[in-house]
Amino acid sequence: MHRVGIDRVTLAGAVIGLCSFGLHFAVLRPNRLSSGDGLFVWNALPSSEAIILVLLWLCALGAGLLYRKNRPFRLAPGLIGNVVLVLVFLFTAGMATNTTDPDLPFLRISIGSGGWIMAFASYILILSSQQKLADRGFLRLFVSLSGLTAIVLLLATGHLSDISVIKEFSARQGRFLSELSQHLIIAGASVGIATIIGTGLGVWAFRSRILERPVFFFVNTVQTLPSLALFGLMIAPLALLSQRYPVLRDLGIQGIGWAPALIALSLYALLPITRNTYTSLRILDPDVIEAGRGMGMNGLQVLWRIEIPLSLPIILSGIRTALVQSIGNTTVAALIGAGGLGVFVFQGLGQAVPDLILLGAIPVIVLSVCTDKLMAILIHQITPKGIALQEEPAS
Amino acid sequence: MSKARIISLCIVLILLCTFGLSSPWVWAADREDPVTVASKIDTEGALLGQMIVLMLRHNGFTVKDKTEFGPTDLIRKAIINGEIDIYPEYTGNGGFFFSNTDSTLWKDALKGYETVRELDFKVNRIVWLKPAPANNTWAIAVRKNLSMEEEITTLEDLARYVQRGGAVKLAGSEEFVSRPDALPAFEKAYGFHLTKGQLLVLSGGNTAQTEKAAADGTDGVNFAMAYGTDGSLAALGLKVLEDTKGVQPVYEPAPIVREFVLKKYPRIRTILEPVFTSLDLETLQTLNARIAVEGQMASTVAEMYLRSKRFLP
Amino acid sequence: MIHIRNVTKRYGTSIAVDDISLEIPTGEICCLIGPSGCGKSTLVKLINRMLEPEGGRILIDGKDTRDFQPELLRRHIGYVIQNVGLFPHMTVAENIAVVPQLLSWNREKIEGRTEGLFRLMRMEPNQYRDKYPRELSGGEAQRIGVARALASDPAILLMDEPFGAVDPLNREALQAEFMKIQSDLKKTVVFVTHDLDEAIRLGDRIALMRAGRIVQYDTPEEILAHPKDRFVSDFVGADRALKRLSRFPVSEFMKEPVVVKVTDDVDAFLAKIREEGKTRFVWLLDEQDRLIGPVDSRHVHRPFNREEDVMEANCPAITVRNSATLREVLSRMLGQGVKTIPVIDDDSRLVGEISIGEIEKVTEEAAFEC
Repeated sequence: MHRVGIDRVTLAGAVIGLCSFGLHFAVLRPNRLSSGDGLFVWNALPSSEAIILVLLWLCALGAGLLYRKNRPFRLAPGLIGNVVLVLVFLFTAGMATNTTDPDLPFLRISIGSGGWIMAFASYILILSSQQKLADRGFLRLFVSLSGLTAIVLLLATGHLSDISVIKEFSARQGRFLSELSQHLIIAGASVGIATIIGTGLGVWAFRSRILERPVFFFVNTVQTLPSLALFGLMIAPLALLSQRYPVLRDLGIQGIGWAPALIALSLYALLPITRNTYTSLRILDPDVIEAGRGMGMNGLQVLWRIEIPLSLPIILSGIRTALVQSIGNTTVAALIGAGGLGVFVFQGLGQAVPDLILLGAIPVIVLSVCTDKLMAILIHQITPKGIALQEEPAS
Repeated sequence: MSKARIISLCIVLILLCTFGLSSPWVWAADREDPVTVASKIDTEGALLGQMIVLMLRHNGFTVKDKTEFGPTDLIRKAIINGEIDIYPEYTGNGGFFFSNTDSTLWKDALKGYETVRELDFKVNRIVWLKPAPANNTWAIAVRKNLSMEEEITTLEDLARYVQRGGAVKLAGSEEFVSRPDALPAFEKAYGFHLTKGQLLVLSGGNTAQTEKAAADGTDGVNFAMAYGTDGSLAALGLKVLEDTKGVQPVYEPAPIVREFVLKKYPRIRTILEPVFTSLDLETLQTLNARIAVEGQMASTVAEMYLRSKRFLP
Repeated sequence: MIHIRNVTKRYGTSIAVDDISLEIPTGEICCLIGPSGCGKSTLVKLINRMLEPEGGRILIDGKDTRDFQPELLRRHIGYVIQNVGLFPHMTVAENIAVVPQLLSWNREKIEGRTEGLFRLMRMEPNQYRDKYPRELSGGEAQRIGVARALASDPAILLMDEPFGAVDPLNREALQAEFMKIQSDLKKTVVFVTHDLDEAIRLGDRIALMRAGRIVQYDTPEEILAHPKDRFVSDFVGADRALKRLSRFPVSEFMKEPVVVKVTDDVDAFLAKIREEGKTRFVWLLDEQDRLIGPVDSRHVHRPFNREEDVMEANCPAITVRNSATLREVLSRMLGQGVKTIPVIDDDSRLVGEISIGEIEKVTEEAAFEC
């Protein structure tokens, strides 16, 4: 083990970060519709800010090439990464606030491809530190979250409000919040329904050899259907039903809107949950069950004390997959009037305004990642210590 | 299993179930015979839809806002099935919905309106209220600089430019390029023909995308399919070519309502018709620009206009 | 006392247990043995109602097992299976505590009992209490399995090939330990095995089964000495005389050794022995009574020369532990070509000697039929 050596991850991040200077850091549009012009770092930002960024990345490069195993070196990439991440947003916002042109009252400034790649590279640096700080709980948490927390705080206090995508947000705040909650409700509800049905199906398929094939054939086939096609298939029968039974209409169940989306999304979420429930029962050691019965546990006690604790981590893992998947799929549901964050994506597509698309897409990504991490933590808590953990605890 | 684990697990399950099972009741909260207003997903649709929503709400209706709902066919299906009650539709589209009509009559504003009103009522029991006097029809727009260089201001100029062998690349939707009453009609009337190499066809394309293509000059595009009332034309540096021979059908926006709902609330007609008849071409262009170019919300722009005209206090 | 009366178990058209009647006296180990498919495992499972018979009754201390709820019955019967089935998500202590918890014991009682069971199994409580099953070796896991079965102090223990999955070295140790435990606890044990040597070593009685029926139910000596029919004699094998020897622990047959310590006057002692002429070999011990080796009183130097006169006896081939059986002794004798073997304890102290004569006496006692 070299004492001074090359830290590959940090080096990779630093190289990507430096290369990002070759792409446009920010984009300046005369209005939200035009494609505008890209600007490199030295054109976009005042020289002091540009120099700061260059210096930070050179430090990262140094940290990558001259790695030592002591604490400062383990922390350095993460700290640099967090600082750069915040600065990308802060500097762009500063540029947006300070750039005014009387001829262009509807000027818009967005983060360009270079800026996004710089942010991505800074995340690689953060990852590099996370890896090395596996044992230091507090430091690791700090490295993971400090940059993101700072950005959230800046957002909340309005310091980033001149960036184009935030302007799109400000213009439709109320709508954004209602679509966000709609998105969460639909995605959450679909997984909730799929959990109830899917765990039942999984247990059923396990207990009955005859049912195993058809059950999995069904859930597998549903998965292969493109989401939009499945949504479309739901419209006609639901429309028919809601006409025949007006009480359904009063409940909000119609051929369009949240009802077909919910049904289709629940069907999609079935596969991971059903399959994981089935597998968790499959890998249960029959000797353990026999020992339990032989010791005098009745059926309920076997279920509660043995089968559930042992199979729960795997089932929850399936629910985790289903949740992340659902959050993504719900975006498409906007096309059939179900609402959700997809509304902004499709509006942006229709009006050819990229920042509006981002307003829809970025929250979906953030939601997916957060849900994934939260579920990982939950699964880690729920997994009994005696079982080999499936994966590392959440970073 | 430790108690803490059991409790956290129960919380997760309860949350999931609550979301899953309570949602119908959450969403069914406002139950009072509401009127469902929808619109297409484009800028003008959003604007007109919001005007309808605001006017009805102000007049005491419970309105379900489903504006910016989806594309034309989805929304037609929805109103015919009774899933939605009102939305703004264009008179000229009658030629599209009812194919066995004489194509020339759609070029006359009044004839077109009366025909589609009669047919939609007969076939679908849908009532067409009075339209706005703004022709949001298909047009061809050109880059301003090219227009000035080559002196192209009308479609006749375009025809001459094409015959001269000038560089032409027109971005349009599949529908625009192939529907006989669209580009082919222009070509026939003005005597020019665009080859495949001179066309950029976007399969689901709308005018925002085609106009952007022309503004950016993507793939050499210098002409774009446009609508008459598009707000972004000026902002994108494009100019509409005049249809001097009046080739295109007239597309005037009008609120269309399910007969069932109108019968129940006849005053919908008196509420909405004055608003629509006040909207002319320039007004719509200006309002559309506020939404598309400035990025304001459709409801804000609609409300400002309604207040300025005293439809709202 | 377990009374099995005319019990039958069928699976479809085939009969697993065919009208079996058996009495297992309290405090005895009854070994069920037979070829695969003979029904021994099935019979055991009928006792604790893991399976239900088609006909017959099973009485435990006079009470019919069907009068109880199966779960309640099983909580008072220890059950050990081949793969142990330790609950992987619980610590060792939690595993042991399962049945007491089902019986609603209070926490102190459970902890005390767990402590006691660790000691019984000769496992250090603080070391094993919080371990998880995946951290245990095969032998350790099986010992915990037995401890778990004993947790509620049941009168009856059902064991279905409990040592089958353990390697031979550990198996021997487990068998020895089990016998020790049984001698303290005196449980009524039904022990299923396919290993005849194990059955002979452990069983107070052996029930040899075939095709769902009991062919012979007797003490091991009887089965070995008087096999009922061709099947039994083939099953026990032609070397049954040797097999019998594993029934006899050497500690019961060894003789008092003649010893001299290095600290004594060795010359004088050896002179006395030579004169008396009763014994020839004398064992030389060190200060702590540990065995150094044998001295041939007839061929010894004068004065006594330790290096030349004593054959160092601290290799295992020449000695035998006091926990061994006569079978092992005979094997050593044949292997080393000696007729007398010293018996030592765990600290290498001499506790006795055994010679071929004692073994012949044992094998002579049984009258074999031709």
